[in-house]
Amino acid sequence: MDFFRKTQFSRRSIIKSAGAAAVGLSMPAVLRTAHAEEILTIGDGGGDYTTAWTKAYYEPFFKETGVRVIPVERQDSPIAEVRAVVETKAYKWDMCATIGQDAADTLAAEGFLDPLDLSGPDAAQIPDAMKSEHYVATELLAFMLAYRKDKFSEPLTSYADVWNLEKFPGRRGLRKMARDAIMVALVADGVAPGEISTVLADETGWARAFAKLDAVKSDIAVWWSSASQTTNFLRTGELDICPTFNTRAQFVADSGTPVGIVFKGGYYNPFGVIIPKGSPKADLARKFVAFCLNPERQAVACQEFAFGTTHPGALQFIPAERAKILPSYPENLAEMAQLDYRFWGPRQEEANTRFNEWLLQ
Amino acid sequence: MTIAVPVRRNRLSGGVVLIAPAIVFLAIFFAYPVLSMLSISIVDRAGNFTLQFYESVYASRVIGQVLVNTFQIAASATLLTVVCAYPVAYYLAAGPQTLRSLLLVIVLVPFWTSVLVRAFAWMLILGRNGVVNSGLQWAGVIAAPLDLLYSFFSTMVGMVHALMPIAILTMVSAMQNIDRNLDSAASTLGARRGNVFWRIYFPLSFPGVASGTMITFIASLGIFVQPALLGGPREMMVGQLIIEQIDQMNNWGLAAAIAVSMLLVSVVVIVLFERILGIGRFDGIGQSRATAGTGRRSTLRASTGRAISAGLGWATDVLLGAGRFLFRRKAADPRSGPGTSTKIATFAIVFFLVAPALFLIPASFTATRFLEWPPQGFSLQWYEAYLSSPVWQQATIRSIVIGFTTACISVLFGVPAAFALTRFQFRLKGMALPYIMLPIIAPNIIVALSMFYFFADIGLVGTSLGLIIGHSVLAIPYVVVTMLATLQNYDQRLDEAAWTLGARRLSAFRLVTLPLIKVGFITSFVFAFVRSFDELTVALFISSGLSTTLPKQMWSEAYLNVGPTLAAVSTILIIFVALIIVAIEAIRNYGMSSLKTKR
Repeated sequence: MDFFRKTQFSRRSIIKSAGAAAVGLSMPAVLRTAHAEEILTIGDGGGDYTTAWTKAYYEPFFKETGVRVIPVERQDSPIAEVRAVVETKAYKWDMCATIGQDAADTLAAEGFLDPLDLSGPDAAQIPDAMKSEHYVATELLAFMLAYRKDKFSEPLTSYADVWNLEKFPGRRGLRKMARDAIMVALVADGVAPGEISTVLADETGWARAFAKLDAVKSDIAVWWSSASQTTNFLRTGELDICPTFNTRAQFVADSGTPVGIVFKGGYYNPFGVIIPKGSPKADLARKFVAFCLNPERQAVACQEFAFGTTHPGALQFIPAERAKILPSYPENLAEMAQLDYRFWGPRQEEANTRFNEWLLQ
Repeated sequence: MTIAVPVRRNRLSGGVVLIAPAIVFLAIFFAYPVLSMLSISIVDRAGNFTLQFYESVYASRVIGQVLVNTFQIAASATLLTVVCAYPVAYYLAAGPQTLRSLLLVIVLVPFWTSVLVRAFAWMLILGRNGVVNSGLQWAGVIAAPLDLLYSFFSTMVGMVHALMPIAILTMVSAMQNIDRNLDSAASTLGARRGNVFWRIYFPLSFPGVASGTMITFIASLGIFVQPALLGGPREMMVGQLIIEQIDQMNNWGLAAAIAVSMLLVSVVVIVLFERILGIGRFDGIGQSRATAGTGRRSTLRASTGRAISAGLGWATDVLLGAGRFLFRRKAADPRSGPGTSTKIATFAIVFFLVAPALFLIPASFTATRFLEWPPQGFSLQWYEAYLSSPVWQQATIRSIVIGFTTACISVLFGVPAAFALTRFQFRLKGMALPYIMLPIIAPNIIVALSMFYFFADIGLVGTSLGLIIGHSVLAIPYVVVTMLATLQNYDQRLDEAAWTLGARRLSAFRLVTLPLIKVGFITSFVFAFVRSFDELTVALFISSGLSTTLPKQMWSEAYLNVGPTLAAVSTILIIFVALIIVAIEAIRNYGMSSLKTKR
């Protein structure tokens, strides 16, 4: 509350000194909750993401504690925004959800995060690879192969099929992002998803990835930059083959379009919650984080939206049919590898430069 | 209002008084925060002076290539936009009054649909199974769909569509004050149509073309949504690189260095524009003509210009003659305004402008959760979603109020500045215009971040006032350029005549100046409003989390995909705005006719 009180006060004084009637008119009550009710503002993904989280976490939390959780739109990538919030101490939200583990790692390394409280029984159940002192994953997203089943007589089975134009003609697209393009190329070339960092340990691996990309460059119809495009691509048939996030592909499949999803060879990246350093409501936020790790509530969120669960006990609360399509379903998970953000973090810059150079050629 | 300050005898101080508020406002809320932010380009992590970021900029082939691409793409888009916008502006300024409000509504349509939705609308139209391809296949013109998207072509379509309203309105504001009796005089003296246009009308409309070109070019430098969503891999703009460095790499130093390089090149371009095209040359037409006559270089330039327009006039007359011969038609009266070719061009371009909305509207009635062609089923659920949601409605009202306040503030600061630039001489005047243009050139993400840091210091983060100030910074340049275009074609001697005839300064301003600059004034206001109404980046950073704006709400809605709700919202906005414009036009026309009777 402190921050809003402070800004509201200074705003009032500014208005007074400016004496501008027009400006005064444009100030609807900023605080919708003017009562004593406690609120927790959280920067989340917006749209359907907020809908799922409202049902699974925000509303139940209010019922249980009386604390109103207010979701707020934030930038796609949180790094700049969290850094700005911490450096200026202008806490426009108390915590953030849907933060990729790679982004959280960068933020933690720079000292922009407050520690979480992971001492609870649910937190103990979350796999070690999906939590750290400052971060805990609440869901998994897979980046995998999606294609239109109705355009091919045989199903696609791996990224290698993206390169196989004879057997699988049709329009294909790839993500305009160095890391993902390189990973797809190496897996298509026969590298196991878990071995990518090892293969990229020296220049031979990089050369191998770019040689593989060379082989398909002229056949890529779309290099997409925004994942929201891919739902449209798969739905309208703009593309027949399009590696993307499982949530996007599943959304199209759920609406009745014949979309095939191949987890094999993909990677999964945990998404979760963080508290910006110095957040005035850090304690309340920690309480809410513990609340979000409950397996039954995770099950609700993942039924609304095709995230994978992070609590191993959550899948049992999801109907078997639905559980099968989630990235955290054991058979699906076994076919992928977790994104090696520790490997990519320091190499992203160089990879981007090289990839952009390659694209511009 | 500041404009009402009577024009002083002492021109030096008068100009400074008029321009100072805008300069100071931008200094506090733009130059200071942005310069503080950009200074990180010369400081390393430990806080020591370094040139490492600039070294990486100049060593990097990618950044160099992308800078070149950006200027090439911006220049192509500007050229296409200005060429296509001219006939529409000409028709709007010189054509029949009856169609005018309708045309204005249509020209403004792209403004009222968010950038994101517009880009997706073009995907709907140009996609593999989109409107064009399915139409052509149905008609049997093509057997397989054409690749229309993800190329230089689709990038141009998206950018020209976004830029066209800016170019048209800036030019209309300038053309508005061209005395049509000059055309009649020329034709009475025997000039044919082509000559009348190229030797009389075109040179008079040139200040508008120059302003329109400059603002279009500057605006196009900052565009990156269309190249990113509609372009191929080579259509990479500097804006994307900067965002990548800030958002993904956490390398703000390099981002700032790229931005500084970009700003420097842009300032050079603006100064060149100013030198070559004479934007902001002081005083109205009479005086600028008089000054143009002095000095050998300007004489040479003037005579070259005259030779070119004479050549074009002759060529047009030959072409028109050939056309008449072919179609066996009589020569039209040069005084009758725009001819058939202008009409055809205008309607083709207007169709282009309205096309995305035209196909977005039916797509918004789809029963599915996707924007697709043809829309499947029929449903009003997306309208219901909007109309039954207090969040959407509050966001809309909030955006309208913030846009309106932004427009008022921008006009208050921008209009006097434009007066100062056209009518007064003062020191360092040459630097004033590039300075005022900076907020458009500076990448949005840099402006938003800088403001966030500064506003956090002074307690403006999370306030409506902060957002309004932020938006005003971005809107003032548009107001200034539009008013420049208007005032350059405004003969100041009309004011002097009024004063000589005994009118007091204030009543001369009210009765002579104001009616003559009304179109430019309204246009500036609309620009400023729209700049705020469709602004996302600053809003995401500055505005409070607890109350959203329309672009923020649309952004949130687009989390999973750009769906029919956004099309429905756009449709509602278009209808709403169309009604307002028609009403304003009706009042304006009424005002015009009452003014004429007074004369």
